[in-house]
Amino acid sequence: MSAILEVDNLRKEYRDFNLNVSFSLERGYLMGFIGPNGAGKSTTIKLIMNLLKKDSGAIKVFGLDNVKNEIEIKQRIGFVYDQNYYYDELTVEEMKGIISRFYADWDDELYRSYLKIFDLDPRKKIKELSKGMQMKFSLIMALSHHAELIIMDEPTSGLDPIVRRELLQILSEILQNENKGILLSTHITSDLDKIADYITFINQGRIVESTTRDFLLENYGVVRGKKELLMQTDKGLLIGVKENEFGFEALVKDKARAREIFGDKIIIDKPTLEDIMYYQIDGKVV
Amino acid sequence: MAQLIIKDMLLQRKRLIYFTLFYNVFAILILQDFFLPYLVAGIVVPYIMLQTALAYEEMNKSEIVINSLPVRKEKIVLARYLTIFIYLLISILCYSILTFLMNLFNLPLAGEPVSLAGIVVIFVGIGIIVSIYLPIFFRYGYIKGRVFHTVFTVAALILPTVAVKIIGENPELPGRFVVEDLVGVRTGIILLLLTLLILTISFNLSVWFYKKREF
Repeated sequence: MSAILEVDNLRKEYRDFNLNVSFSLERGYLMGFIGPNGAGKSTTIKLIMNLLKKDSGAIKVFGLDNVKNEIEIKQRIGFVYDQNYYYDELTVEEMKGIISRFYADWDDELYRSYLKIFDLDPRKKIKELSKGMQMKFSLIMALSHHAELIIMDEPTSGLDPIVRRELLQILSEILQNENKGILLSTHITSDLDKIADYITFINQGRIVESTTRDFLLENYGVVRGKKELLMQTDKGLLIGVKENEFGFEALVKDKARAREIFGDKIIIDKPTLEDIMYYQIDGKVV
Repeated sequence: MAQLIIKDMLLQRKRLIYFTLFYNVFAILILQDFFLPYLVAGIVVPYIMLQTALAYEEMNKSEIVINSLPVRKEKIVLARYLTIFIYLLISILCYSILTFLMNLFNLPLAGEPVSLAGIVVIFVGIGIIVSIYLPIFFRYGYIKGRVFHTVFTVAALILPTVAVKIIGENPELPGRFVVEDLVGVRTGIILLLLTLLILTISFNLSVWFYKKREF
């Protein structure tokens, strides 16, 4: 199946930060876009949405250039940002009335069904909604026009676990339709442990890894062993080495290779996405 | 584009009515002995309403949402230019109703109805202000554009005072700054056309700036 989103050698330079990223997302999948604060997640998303101007590189959405075909593309994108940018003086219904007219495929029936699912009162002003409810409202706006690509920038930050779970459940249901794709940026990696198909990990404006979640979780490992073992290792095998009085712990990209080198002298645990992010960001490579 | 205009009206609904009414009553009751109050109704009130709408936009950072929607930048810009003329219509309508009622009841401080020449002056005045301000807003955003707003506000406060002083020191002048004497039919048409030209240039400049803006 063709890529729903292709980011190729995308560059954006600031005085103190340079972004240079490439990745792609196939239809029918959810890509978790992870990285620490300031890694370049929001910048990348704003570039995709043409809210920022790229210095060079290419962004194709549905196979179309995101600047030349901006309006056509945005008809088919649903967006959710990290905070409420809707007019808080307006009611949910008034805001819907404004937003819906921009979309050719707006589905009022679908909108009403999401209002029910999320238990959102359309007569309430947006400023009267809690942060979780505001995020649900953003999500409803993103989902009610049959968007093919849903782009979400930190939608779960600040939400309580129940709302987060509801949101993730909805996203799973959306992906039952194989024609759709979701790019979900977050630094709460536990959200992705169950639902992400692909993980793109960005740090300091560079892609560290962009692959399937299963590949990451099956090949990476968290190893623990005695300090003496650090002398025996291949260069670059151990990532983010943390030493303490009992020994060391580190991340390995290839746990089979680590087992080959160290044998039974080490313990290898299955990492979480948070482990993979944590060790790569903070720690020395041996 | 219509929904962008409706959005601004919805955002200000109560204020749009209260402010327009308040400023028009103020202009008629306080300023009419010195200055044509409908200039306040036609220039100052729409400008204040525009600033209020932009302040809402800034407060909610809603330009991010607007620019994420499938809408051309040209339409976003055009909606802003058109909205101010809607404020103008509302304010002039409010002013006209007030003066009509005041004259109907023979109140001592009845306002002067808007003349054709007055409409020309209002259109030229608000047209020029908008033509200068909106490109600055679309280039730099609301916060940086406040510099122009401050200059305009100071000018709006000082100029009437100066006008009052001049009238006071020259008793041979009529009691009001008679705009009608300055605008003949031919001059009026030329001024209107020139303002339209300036507005067109300003609109294109605003679009050009807005397409380069980052959010």
